[in-house]
Amino acid sequence: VTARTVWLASYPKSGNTWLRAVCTAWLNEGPVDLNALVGTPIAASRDHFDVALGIPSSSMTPEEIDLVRPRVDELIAAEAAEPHLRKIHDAYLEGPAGEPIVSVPATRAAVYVIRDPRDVAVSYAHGRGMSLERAQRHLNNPEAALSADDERLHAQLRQRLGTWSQHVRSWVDDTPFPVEVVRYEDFVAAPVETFGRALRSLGLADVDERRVDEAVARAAFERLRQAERDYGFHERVPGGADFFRRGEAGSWRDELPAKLAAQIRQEHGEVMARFGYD
Amino acid sequence: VRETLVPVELPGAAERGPLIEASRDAVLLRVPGVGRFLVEAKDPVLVERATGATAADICCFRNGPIAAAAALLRGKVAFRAAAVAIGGRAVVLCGASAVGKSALAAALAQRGHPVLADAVAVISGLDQEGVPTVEPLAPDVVLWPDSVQELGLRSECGRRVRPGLAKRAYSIGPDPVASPLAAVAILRAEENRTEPAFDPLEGASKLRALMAVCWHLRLVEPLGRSAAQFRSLAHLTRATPCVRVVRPRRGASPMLLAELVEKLAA
Repeated sequence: VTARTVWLASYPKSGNTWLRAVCTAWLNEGPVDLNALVGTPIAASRDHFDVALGIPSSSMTPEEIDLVRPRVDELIAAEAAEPHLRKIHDAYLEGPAGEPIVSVPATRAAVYVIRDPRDVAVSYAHGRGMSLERAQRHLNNPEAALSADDERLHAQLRQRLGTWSQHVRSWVDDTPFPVEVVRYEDFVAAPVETFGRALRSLGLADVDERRVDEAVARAAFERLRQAERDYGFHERVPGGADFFRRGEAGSWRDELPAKLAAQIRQEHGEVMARFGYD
Repeated sequence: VRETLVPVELPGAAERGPLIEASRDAVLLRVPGVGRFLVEAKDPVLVERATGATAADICCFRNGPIAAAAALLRGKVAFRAAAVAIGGRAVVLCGASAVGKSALAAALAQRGHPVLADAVAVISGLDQEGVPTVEPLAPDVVLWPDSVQELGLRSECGRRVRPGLAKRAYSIGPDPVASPLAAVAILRAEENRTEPAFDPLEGASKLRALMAVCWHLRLVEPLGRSAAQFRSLAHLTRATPCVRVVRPRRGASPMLLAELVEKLAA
């Protein structure tokens, strides 16, 4: 097994797509194609799983799938160029056999994008067409997962998230490979420096400031929002608002009721303080 | 299928994947929580159940990867696809997982067309450049609750295929018989698309598209089938229309697509 995979990990609505857009601009000429971002398909892609293994995941239970997901990572890494960037929203948790959800031997490193959970809650509510109260409860639900209901066959496999705090800790503490933590707020405040640090940690060569500046400009939030309006974005959740909405740091101050903000602070205060969210 | 002891590993395997191993004349499938299946060119398929697995668990894989492995060993082509017969001629419905192949097959069955296959479509008659023919595999269509509701079926009329899964099998439409292949339709969902549309494929892009929908291509070489498989697909490329059916990512009902596929078959 070759350690080629670099995970682009985050809780949903935390800046993962923005990071991938900058990576795409860094690696390619011309305008950023939102529907062909590097790092896709996501680690939980059902089709990738089915093609790699030859056994349809639709006939397996989520627990059976979790047992073999690390093997899929290894197959994909073996056939990929280096570094192999892959988006992931799963928390770094153990599967039914006690093995992490991603293959450790196939992993070289990870970049973890973190965002103030109060902004995450607002963005999550808009992106999924749910109330702010429900989004706040979701961030504090240890059983929270994506694509988890069995009413339909989802294009993505079940992804366990845990609470927002659990998700952060799972990737940041005691992970057996290097993890570079980048804050969404620093993407906004100091984009060239922060994206440059992320690009370097991904193992992309020749990360010089001028080229980072140029890639950041081509993946500027306004351009991504316009690209979504012009061509659509296949990662938008059905029933939700546009994927690219405000792209600001701290917009929770005028969108999140004080009671919910206080609740999030109470539930996640310890991890928030660690990352400067006061 | 006969229940007996099945080895954990396949002796002399040239391909050792996480769940599937293959030698020149056998394929071993290991499905966690279900069991091990040994498939050879001739029946029966040998099965050893995992602890706690039921007969339904075993059956759930019979018309999918087990049938596909058997087809490859017998010199046929297996697509990850559903198939229906329209006017006595088969249309194979391919596409990525969860794109809506089974729901479309069920909608066509509701319009009176027999279902030839759901998870895997087996094409025979490709050797000696014969008439490509789709074999009847599974007259039942397996649907998830959202499709059951959308198609107006009654949940209780479906048969649970595995105890741990919410999907159910439905017998809809007439009994199928082997049918000459009329067309291959590759389903694709796209953003910003308001209506479904056809996009015919030709030449190299057609061959690439057909290769992409083959079941578990990585087994072809270890089974010594590379040249024969390529000849079969090249023959299929020449002999059969192949169309990409692009549908809106949201809001394209299986019934609407079924009407479109009927036109394609005509």
